[in-house]
Amino acid sequence: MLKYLISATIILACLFTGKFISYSLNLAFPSAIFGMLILFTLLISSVVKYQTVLPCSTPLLRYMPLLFIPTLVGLIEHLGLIRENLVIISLSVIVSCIFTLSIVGHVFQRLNKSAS
Amino acid sequence: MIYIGIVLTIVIFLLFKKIQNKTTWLILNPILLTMLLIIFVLILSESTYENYAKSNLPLTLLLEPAIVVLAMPLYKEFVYIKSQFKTILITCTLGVFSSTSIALFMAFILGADNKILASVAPNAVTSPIAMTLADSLGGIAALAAAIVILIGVLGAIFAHPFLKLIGVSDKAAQGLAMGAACHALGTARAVELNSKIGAFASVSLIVSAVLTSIILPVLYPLLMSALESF
Repeated sequence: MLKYLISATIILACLFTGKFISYSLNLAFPSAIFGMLILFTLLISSVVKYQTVLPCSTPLLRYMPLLFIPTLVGLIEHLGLIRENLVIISLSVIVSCIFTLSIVGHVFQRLNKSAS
Repeated sequence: MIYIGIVLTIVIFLLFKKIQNKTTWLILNPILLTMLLIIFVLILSESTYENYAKSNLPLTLLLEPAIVVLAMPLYKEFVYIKSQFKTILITCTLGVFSSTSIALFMAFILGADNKILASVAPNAVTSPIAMTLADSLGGIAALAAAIVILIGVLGAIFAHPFLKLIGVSDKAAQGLAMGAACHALGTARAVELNSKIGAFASVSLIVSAVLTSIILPVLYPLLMSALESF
């Protein structure tokens, strides 16, 4: 029980520190991602041990999809807008995905070859 | 009564997850199917989204802590790929620039409004982060997440054959591309294909997510003012 409490405290401390920094600097940067970078820094500098965070991080990561389904259902309020823009959205996202696949794949292949 | 919404979400999701585990068909994505079925139920029962969202607040509130713990897989992969980190960083940065600017450019030319543009821009990050980013740019969080998941489903099916077709044969490069362009679902497929492709896909998934969150809030207003001055 205690290990859950400790890992939850660490996670929330990172989140709220991120929120505080983001708020006081008035940044557009999402504060949860700030929290993630703080936790990453703590792990890399071995201030916090990987195993200590594990009890709460494992279920959170495993059931992450469940956490954003409610927001996803919010599409129900934009059905008209989506119907109107369906072609625009699909076309732009698919083209962007094809280009990104090609660019990332080819650039890394070349850099990797020249390195070895 | 207030519990019905959250019970609906959990039961339907677990059910679809079980079905997918049995069939292993990528097209039967449990997230998408759950969303569609719940929207269908809400429309049929004439319930408001507001009530449903209120009931699901405990789940929604956990999303931010879940984003924080994405640092865990990042840390684990970081130890593993330290030696190649610079190359990976350069490639993923390129990927972030291409995915956001190409999508924005296309959508702008086709005449999308600001709400759509801001929802299309974070198309190359994992859904929870796409949601927070779209929200902070003035887009629709739900739409951004849905786009990411749809691209992920398509990517899981077509990305690997496509990469081979265009001559990307290096396994690390294939993984990196799949993680950068097709997020979690592309990564899940990559893990199935081969452990090396999988490892690089999960690295690029996380690295791209972090890079996009840093780059997009700065890049988006710049690109928008550039596009508008045309």
